[in-house]
Amino acid sequence: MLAPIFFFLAFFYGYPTLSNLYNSFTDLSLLGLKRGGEFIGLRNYVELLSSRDFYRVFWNTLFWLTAVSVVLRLVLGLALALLLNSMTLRRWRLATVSRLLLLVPWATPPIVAVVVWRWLLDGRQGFVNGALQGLGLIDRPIAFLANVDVVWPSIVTIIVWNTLPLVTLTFLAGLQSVPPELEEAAEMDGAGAVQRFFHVTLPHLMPTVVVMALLLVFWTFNNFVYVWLATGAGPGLFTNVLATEIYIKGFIDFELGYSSSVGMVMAALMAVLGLVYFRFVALREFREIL
Amino acid sequence: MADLNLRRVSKRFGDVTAVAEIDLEIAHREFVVIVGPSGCGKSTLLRVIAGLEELTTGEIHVGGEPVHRTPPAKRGIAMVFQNYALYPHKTVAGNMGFALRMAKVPGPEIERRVIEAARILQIEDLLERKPRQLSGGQRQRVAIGRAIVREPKVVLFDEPLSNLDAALRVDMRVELARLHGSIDATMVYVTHDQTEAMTMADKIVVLREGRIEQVGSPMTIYHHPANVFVAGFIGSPRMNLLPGTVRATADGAVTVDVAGGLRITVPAEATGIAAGDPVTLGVRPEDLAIGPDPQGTAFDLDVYVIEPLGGETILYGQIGGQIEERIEEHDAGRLEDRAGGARTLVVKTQGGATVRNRQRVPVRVVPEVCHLFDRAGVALPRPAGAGDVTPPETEAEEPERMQGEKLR
Repeated sequence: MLAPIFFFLAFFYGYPTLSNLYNSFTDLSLLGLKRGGEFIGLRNYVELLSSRDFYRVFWNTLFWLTAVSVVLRLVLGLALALLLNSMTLRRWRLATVSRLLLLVPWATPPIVAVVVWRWLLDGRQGFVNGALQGLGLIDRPIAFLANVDVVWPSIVTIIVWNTLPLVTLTFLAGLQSVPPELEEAAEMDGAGAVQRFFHVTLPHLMPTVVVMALLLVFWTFNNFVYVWLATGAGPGLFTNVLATEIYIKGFIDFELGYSSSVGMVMAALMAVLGLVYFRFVALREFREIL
Repeated sequence: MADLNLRRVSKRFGDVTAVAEIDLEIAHREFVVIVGPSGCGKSTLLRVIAGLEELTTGEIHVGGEPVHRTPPAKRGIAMVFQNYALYPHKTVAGNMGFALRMAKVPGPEIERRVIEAARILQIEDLLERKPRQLSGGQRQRVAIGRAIVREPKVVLFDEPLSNLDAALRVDMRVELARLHGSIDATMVYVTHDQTEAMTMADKIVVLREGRIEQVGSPMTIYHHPANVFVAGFIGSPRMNLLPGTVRATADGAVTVDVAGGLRITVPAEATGIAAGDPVTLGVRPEDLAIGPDPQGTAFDLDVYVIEPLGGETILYGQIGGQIEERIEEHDAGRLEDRAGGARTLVVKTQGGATVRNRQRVPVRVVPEVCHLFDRAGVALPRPAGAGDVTPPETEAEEPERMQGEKLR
């Protein structure tokens, strides 16, 4: 019964993958698609791995785009979820309002979000510069998306703003599933609020945190939209990441073969992550189902 | 000395009064069981004692010290939760030692006390396991272990056996009674199961709608229920409550006419009642017997349902006519709704009884075991020792409340 779907999927996954793998061993150019590329063996990979630019792209992707933004979202998401779950907010009858407000960034499509943020962060008329200057915190405007000192924090800010709600809501759901009698038992056992968090809440939330972390890494590592729309990998190629590198090499430099090899490296890294995910998350879920 | 005293303790949630002005004195090492139907406030009362709910008014004293403004952990009170509330990611030893760890007790001392508690509860070989690897009964033991390892003055139990199956419940009941003998703590136990109350308690507190209906030893509660509610709540099957009219009163005796043409003279103080007053005659199913009575205090019972339980047989019948109607009602599943109705009677006899369905049998009533309640449902005092020769009945079954009264 599943066979037709399997073949369908195999074709649409398999053919492009194999075709891309083959292309990565050629010098295929976007201008010579009809002619086809010449087989050049591992030369693309050698060039790629020996290029200093590539290590910068690699670092940008791994550290700035992925690590920083994921850790920030986990920490802020947890803090925000704790705040939203707190009795204080409930007592002020703000719980519903704050949860609705939280959804606003999430309901904003990434493209819209980035464009809005580009206006906000604009070096000449941007609101952020206006506000900071108005408060007297800075003397002259900062070109947030063009200044190498602040461009990465700026991009990360956009990513965090746009995707934090999902993280927060997921954690909030996890927090609400902490059995209240566990908290009470810990209270009877003499645990203060901080100890209750580390001995009851956080262990209960840990599986959710792990899954969320892995998913965020997946979604962010190969994300093209935020960097490309915010800076176009600039200034220069300062914020170039793997996803934008593929695009630039393939469709701006026309080097499809080289671009394919970058794609293969990226796919290999994703495969490792996939393995981790499968090992720690999916397998456990399978076991629970079976 | 760790006696527990409640003085005019009330708990209100907004307009709802869950616990109303409870006064209760519990002696050191006493095992007190608080019983009552669902929603009577018994769990709330326990949580107020624990400090998980702040009391609205009143005072709580443990060993003479006021604790009602003290945080839960500092009251010298431990609590066993209904669904165990074990920390799922900690081992059994980690669970049991957590309170000591929080109290900064040195490691070796924690270990010694955990092992000691585990020995008492016979869970020494489970100390390295996680809660999810344990059975329900084992989890329950760990939860109890976590409570006693702190050497609290008072241990509170919130329906601790309700998640266990029937056989295990009986075992744990015995275990808890044994535990009570071996540790130096006062125990307060909340349950809706009157069997647990009767078997374990030194003292039973019957609670209804946040108020104490009666406090007393199990035998006192059973033989001298203070009112119709307690009489109906304790004992299974529940006490037969028959409407009647006072015929005559004498010194220490009241003669009553009961539906079905029975006239019976019950030994009771005739305080505040006179001939013609409506009263309720209460007689426990186990105090009724099949067979004619030479003195004439017997009536005919048309049996319509027989429940053979092996060792004993429970008969449901009606005093006099209309047997057909009762059977139809029973078939329609409405019997429970009407059981305890004015003319319905439940009789508990020995297992070998040869009564058949739809048979009419004579039922003997011994006046000495009957209870009388006045118009307000308050018991007329019985002479001391009345009925005390009868052993208490301890069948686990949720009694229903006062249905017969409403139907009358």
